[in-house]
Amino acid sequence: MNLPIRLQWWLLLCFIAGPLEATTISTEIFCQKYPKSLGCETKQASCNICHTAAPSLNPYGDDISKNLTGNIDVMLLETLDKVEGLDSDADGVKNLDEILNAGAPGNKAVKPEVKVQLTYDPAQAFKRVKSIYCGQTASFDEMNTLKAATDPKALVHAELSKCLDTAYWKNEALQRLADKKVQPLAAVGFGGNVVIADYRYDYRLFSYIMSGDRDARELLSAQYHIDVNGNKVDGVIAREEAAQIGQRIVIGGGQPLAVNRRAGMMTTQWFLAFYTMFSVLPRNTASQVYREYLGMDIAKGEGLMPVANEPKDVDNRKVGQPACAVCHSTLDPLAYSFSTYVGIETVQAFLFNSNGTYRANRSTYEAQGQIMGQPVPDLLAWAEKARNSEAFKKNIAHMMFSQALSREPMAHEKAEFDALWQNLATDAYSVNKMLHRFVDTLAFGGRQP
Amino acid sequence: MKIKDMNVDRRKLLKASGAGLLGAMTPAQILMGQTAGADKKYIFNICAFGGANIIDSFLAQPTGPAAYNNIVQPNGSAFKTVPPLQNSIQGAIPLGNGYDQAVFVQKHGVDMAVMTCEVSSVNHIIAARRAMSGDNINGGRTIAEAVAMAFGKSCPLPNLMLAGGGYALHGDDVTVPESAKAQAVTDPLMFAFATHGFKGVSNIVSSGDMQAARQLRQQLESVSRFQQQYAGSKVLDAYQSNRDRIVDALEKGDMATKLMMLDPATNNLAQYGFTLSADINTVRAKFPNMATDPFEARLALAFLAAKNGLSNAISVGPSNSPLVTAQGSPNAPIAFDWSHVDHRGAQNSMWSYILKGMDGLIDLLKATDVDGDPSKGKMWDRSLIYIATEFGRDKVATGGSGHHLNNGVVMISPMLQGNKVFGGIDAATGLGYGFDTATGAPATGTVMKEKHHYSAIAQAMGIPFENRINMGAMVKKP
Amino acid sequence: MKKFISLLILSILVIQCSSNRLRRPSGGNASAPGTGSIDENGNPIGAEDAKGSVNGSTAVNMPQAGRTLIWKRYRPLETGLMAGLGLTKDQLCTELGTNPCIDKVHLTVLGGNEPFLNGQYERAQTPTVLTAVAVDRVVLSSCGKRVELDRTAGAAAQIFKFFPLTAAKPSDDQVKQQATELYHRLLAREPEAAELDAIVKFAASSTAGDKIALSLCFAIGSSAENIFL
Repeated sequence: MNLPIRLQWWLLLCFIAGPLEATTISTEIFCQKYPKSLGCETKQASCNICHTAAPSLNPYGDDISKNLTGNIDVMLLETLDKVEGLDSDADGVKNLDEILNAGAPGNKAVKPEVKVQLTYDPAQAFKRVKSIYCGQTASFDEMNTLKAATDPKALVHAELSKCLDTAYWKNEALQRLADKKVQPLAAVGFGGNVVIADYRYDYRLFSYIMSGDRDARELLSAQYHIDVNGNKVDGVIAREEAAQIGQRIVIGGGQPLAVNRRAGMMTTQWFLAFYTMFSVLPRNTASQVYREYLGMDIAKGEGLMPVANEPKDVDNRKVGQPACAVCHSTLDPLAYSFSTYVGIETVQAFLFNSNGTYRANRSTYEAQGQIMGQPVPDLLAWAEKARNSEAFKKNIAHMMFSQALSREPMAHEKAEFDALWQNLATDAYSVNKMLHRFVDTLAFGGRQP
Repeated sequence: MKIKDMNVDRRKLLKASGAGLLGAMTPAQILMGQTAGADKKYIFNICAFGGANIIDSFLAQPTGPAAYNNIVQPNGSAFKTVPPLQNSIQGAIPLGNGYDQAVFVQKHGVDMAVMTCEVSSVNHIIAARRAMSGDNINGGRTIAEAVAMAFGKSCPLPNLMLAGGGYALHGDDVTVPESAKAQAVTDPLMFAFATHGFKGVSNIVSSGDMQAARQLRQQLESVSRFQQQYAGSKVLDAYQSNRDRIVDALEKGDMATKLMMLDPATNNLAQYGFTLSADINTVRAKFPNMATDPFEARLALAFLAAKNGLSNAISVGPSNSPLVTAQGSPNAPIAFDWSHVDHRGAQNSMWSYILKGMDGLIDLLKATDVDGDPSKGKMWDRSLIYIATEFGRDKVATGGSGHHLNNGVVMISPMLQGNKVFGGIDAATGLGYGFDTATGAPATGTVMKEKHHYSAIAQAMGIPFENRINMGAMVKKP
Repeated sequence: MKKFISLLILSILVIQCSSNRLRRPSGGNASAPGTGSIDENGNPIGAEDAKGSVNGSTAVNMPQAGRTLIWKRYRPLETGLMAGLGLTKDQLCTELGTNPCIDKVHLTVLGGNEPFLNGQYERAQTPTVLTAVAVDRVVLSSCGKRVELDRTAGAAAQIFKFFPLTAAKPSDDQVKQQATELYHRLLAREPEAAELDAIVKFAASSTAGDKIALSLCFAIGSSAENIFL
């Protein structure tokens, strides 16, 4: 690797293929100098300050790169000073002003926060509640009732409560929210031509946990499943249809994983079979949980927290090469904890429904896992760290915010957004309660006077 | 309009266009990435999902880790080819359509250029996106967006997306107008219905009645409190603008007929006032399986959309599902990514599958006048086909293969220096090396990146932008 | 067993990579969660112009402070038409009489996604260029069905009951009553005086009751106010 490229990588402020110390130091230098900068709330969020998608630099990162005259750990402070007066992203706001005022110096789409005058409109909120959570259009009578009400907000909340208990919300809206996490495919699910697992359990579990004031953390801890009638089922669940090889092939179904090895959505038979498949080291499985339940997409350079002396390349995939190690020094340790869970088998699955089961001797590195800088002995410990993290809470809030509004929060909505996830613990991790807070926000019901 | 009024600085202008051309271009042209006097040109991005490995086709090697023992090099051709192999899906299902790579080279090699590369990601989504954006060398604008903006001004839906995954993602350039962003098509056979607001819906109203009803809608909206409340809303403006301009253009252009590909024998077209595309027999001759093969149906729609002036930047992907019949399957499961299980079988069958489709498409483009006007020449004269792929595969001759950064890409166009290989392959390793972009001379120790593909396409088609790399060796001089 | 294993692997891998198919992108303007994109006037960055011009149509997905709208997607659109026009689900739009417009043919452009067969795991963030076409087809079909039912019902008509659907010239009052009913049923509000004026003028230039009824229903039901919240 030649020097300029190395320097560029060291500018990532969050991850690199070089020495770990340089990464940490660089990140900390930036955030110590600009503690209020967007991206300094958590170290893992700071990549976008300098990058589009790692290792590609954004205009701000590019300017730093051009002005860096030596080792980044030594010269970064000086270089940051040099580029403060520039307007790297050409959005009319100088870098320093952006950094200090919740802008993004390398992203012209993000500029400093400004004051926005909005008023809360219960009628707008009501219509939105009906549409988003009931799948209905507010009627003329309902709007008249709202107009006449002395406390219209109470009606908004009453309607929301009704909506959150409807079949639309539980069986359609929430299930569409789960699509990206489950990634079903009819041909290999229940009733398909080749059945490896039954993803209907995934949808039912997701919907169950995300509704009814339940603890959302059970997404990564539930040791039960939900049957087709909506009832909780404890224990191992047998295949609904017998294993067969003929016009159709059925080797999966039910939920065969031992209860004491379960961790909610990430250990269903479908999730393990579909994402792990035949992999020795289930990187896809780990990265999917990291992306969908913690909001960090390693493929986009998010959530990279390199572990020293990693990756070990346990499956001989040559991931130790610098270009690969950028991500795999985080990803591989994340995946170790999944390595004792079976993905797809053939004969074993046909005979014993083994897809998605736990097998201690499937690997020798299960106990070497790490998540968010913390060592974990097994997947249950991994899940515990994950579901109790700030990232998990933020992801739940972000998921519900974008589900409703189909957009990201804006700068002037940051406080409202932060309040959503920060109150999640107070609300016993109830998504319903979060949504009641949400519909009260100006982000949801606000409009210009 | 003054440039400063448009809140555009020089940096943006440079990004949008080539500095040397600024003096000859209007601000609007510059912002659209248009060249002065630009006319319609077409790009067809063939999204070869899963890693179309170049040393299993036109840069096949007789020695080394991925050696073939039956390579054919057609007379006068710069390209090697691999004959159809006796492939099967794990011994159970015959695999491949039997199309010979050599046939493609003999017919179209004169317009074909192959360049080696070493891309920057082996993640399907990321790599596909970079294949389309040149790793953001043009400010995040995908090549389809760039071509749509530069040469698709007259097209109602210039950027048509018949592929998925990372290939279908919008670029990062926020200055790309909605009209130039990709319009996803789920089912090419049903797409015609999406191009007309009322045909086949009601027998009460005539076209004139609908026009009046729409005008009434516009009047009602213009006086409504809702409209005043959200005046200036971009999403509202875009919706109403599309409704007024695009829908009108689609209906007036009778795209519902021109793109209708449903078989009238099994669909009640006449009862609902629909008629079959006048070109149906032409496209059926090249894509006879389009009723059941999504790739053929997409290619057929791609041609009809271009021919009828709907689109000029069209991306097409193969189906990821094998089309199993009693004779076997012409395509591999998960396309080129089946190489994980059977490298040779996947590569050989999928190259044949892709190239047969390209052969048909090129034949159609060569036979068809631009806008139906013989004075404008043939569509092929203004077309470029880019076989985009995410990455290469491990350099192996047997078994399965993983993803590999090193590969090469295929471009076919009369605008390119054809029958040429740019770069080369190290026979000992099977790895490609680069070339001097100005002279074309092979340059071991170098590699070409996604930005070089993008630049070569842009330069061949005449799209300037700030960071464009001079790929003069690859393009024909105008 | 070899065939079994082959088919198994085949099917699984087909699915694995089908998961990448036809994901509807969310737009290329990603910004960090919790951050904004507005200028000193509260306008979105890049909002130089409107009406789909070169600049104005950029970054439609970018939120605008105080002017953010929510897309009323396929299901509330559908149920709103059903409730407003007294129709059942199977009386709504189909293509060629067999292909459901909302749940199948136009699902994607109406804001939905089909994950199981098409591998669409995400939905469009904002209406696409073709959304308005699908809206027109769905609303026109629904209105046409109601007109047809009410014409058959005669005196027992449910919605179009303020003037005969065969009359050449309904009175202004009849037209206003019918329009008011449609505003109640489709937009859940009273019409503005200016809206009624426009409608009366429109009706005066028309010749047949059924066409006036259908046009009013279409114009009100497919107006942007019924597409955005």
